[in-house]
Amino acid sequence: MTGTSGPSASGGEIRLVGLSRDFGQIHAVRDVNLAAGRGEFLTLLGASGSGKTTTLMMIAGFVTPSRGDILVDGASIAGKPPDKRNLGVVFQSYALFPHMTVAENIAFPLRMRRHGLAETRERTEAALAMVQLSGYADRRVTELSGGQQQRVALARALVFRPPVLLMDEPLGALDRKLREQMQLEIKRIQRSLGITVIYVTHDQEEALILSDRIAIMHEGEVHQIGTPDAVYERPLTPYVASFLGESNFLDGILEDKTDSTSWVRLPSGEKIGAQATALPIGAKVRAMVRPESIALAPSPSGQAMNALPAEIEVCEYLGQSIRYFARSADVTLTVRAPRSDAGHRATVGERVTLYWSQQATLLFG
Amino acid sequence: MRRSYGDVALAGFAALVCLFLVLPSLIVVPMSFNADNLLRFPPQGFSLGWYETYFAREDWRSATWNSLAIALSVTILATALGTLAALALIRGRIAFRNLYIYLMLTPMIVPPIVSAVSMYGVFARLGLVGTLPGMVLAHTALALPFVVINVAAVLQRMDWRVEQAARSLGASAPRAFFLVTLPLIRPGLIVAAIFAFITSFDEVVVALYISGSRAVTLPVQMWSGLRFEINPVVAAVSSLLLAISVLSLIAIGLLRRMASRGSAP
Repeated sequence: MTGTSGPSASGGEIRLVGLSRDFGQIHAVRDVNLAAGRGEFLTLLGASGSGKTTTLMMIAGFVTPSRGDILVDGASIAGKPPDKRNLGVVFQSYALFPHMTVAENIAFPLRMRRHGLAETRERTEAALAMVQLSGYADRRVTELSGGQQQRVALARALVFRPPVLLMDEPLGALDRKLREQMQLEIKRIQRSLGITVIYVTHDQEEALILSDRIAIMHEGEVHQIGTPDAVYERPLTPYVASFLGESNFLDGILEDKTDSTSWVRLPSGEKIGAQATALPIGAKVRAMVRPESIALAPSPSGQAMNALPAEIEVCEYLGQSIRYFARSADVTLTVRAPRSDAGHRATVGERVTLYWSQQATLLFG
Repeated sequence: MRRSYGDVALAGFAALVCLFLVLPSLIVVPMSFNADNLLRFPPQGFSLGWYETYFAREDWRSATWNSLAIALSVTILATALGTLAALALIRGRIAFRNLYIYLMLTPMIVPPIVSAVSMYGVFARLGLVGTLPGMVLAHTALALPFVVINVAAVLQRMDWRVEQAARSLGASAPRAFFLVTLPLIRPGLIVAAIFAFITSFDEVVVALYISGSRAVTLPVQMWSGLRFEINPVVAAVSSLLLAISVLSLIAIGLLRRMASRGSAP
């Protein structure tokens, strides 16, 4: 941190209650209930059209909710104009003021709040130092690179010490290398300020890296909220499972179940085991298993394993891992095996057996 | 750089077209320095006498002041109204948006003589004929479409997130407009204002009907000058007007270039 004059630690609590937005007949956002605690990094993750940006714009005050409320530290802000909400907003397009210098951009929110000259200068400098652009105060923003512009946008959104920072795909316009660097930067600044962040992205990897919790949105609704490992390992819906990471789905009939294991009969006649379920016997089910859970050899772990005969159709060398597409009866499964110097590498056309743990198999109704 | 015969031919053709378009207008310049008291080309001798006449005579002077006063008022009025209209058309959620756009563009499409006759009918009843306010209103209507088109074009290119950013940082709607939006669209506004000025300053058809005898503008004075006393004063005035138009066009060109450079990412 850069001393007491910099943006200081004062994360707020934000709560969305039944937030909805209709555009004509279309429900762009439907009954979203979310809460982010002080200093929490909450990501709204979804494909385009999932309602994540509309939700963020409702919080910022640029879209009027059709129903529901937005509370910051317990007080409703839904009726306030954007300039009275006191929230930091970072846009994908940076939205810097091209007719102002870097320092003028950052000082803008302080000017709006009628801070004194000395304090404005001091806080602007501290904010510049925070984003590591100390020598750039008098540059025109149009002379800066994309990454530098995004740093200016970040400093400008933080310099007035808002309780909550809203970020709308802030790294979408940057190339991969720079994006990874900025992710670290954002995380570092967020931790040091203790600010609450609502972050919107369609990039699942980015969401997993940055977030304390992820809310996965689809067609205007929140499908699941949880920590990155929870949403990845225990997805509640097939959509979440397919959107976050790669997944294999096997359709079948729930044939039998015990307290610990469910048994699914596949159309091919094979039977596989899966996690316990509350679904009734005889129900149509989808079993889901992650590609990295499947191996081409039985593991010695002693866990109950599923085994499915298959034929390798495609083999992709990805460096640290190898991805196979293996056909078993009428489904093609994706297998991701770590590359090892010693291990056997299957070839196209080879007949193999796919092994995976029954407890790594999730069931959806 | 190598040039093919095609390029040379094209350049030559373009030069011919320009010459064909511009030369008839430029002919008034040597004519205005004529020592003779007839409008003729080539000029006989050299004299600044006709410029002297122009500046000395009361009817020419008052027509010039009228034209300037009207054109400047039109510039302010049309730019303000046209900017507000363009803002509403581009940003507002308006029913029948296209209908409004076409209505606002009609003064550009309707033949000037039709505008003139219909305005005369209405203005006569309101007692606006032969008054400066009447002229200002008539010319504002004519200038409005040029302002709307120019301002709408810059508004369409603008990134609205920039204004939203200003709002999110604590600027009220009016402050965000004046501190952020206005500076960003200023080059377009100035171009629009110059168009409005020229539209009024050069206008003759509507002015012939509306100006009466008490609000005579420069083009109207030239018109009567040509009809009643054919002498090179008209050529002198034309040369001055030509100079003003050329300077305005150069200004517009420079501003356009500034605007496109400013909006580049």
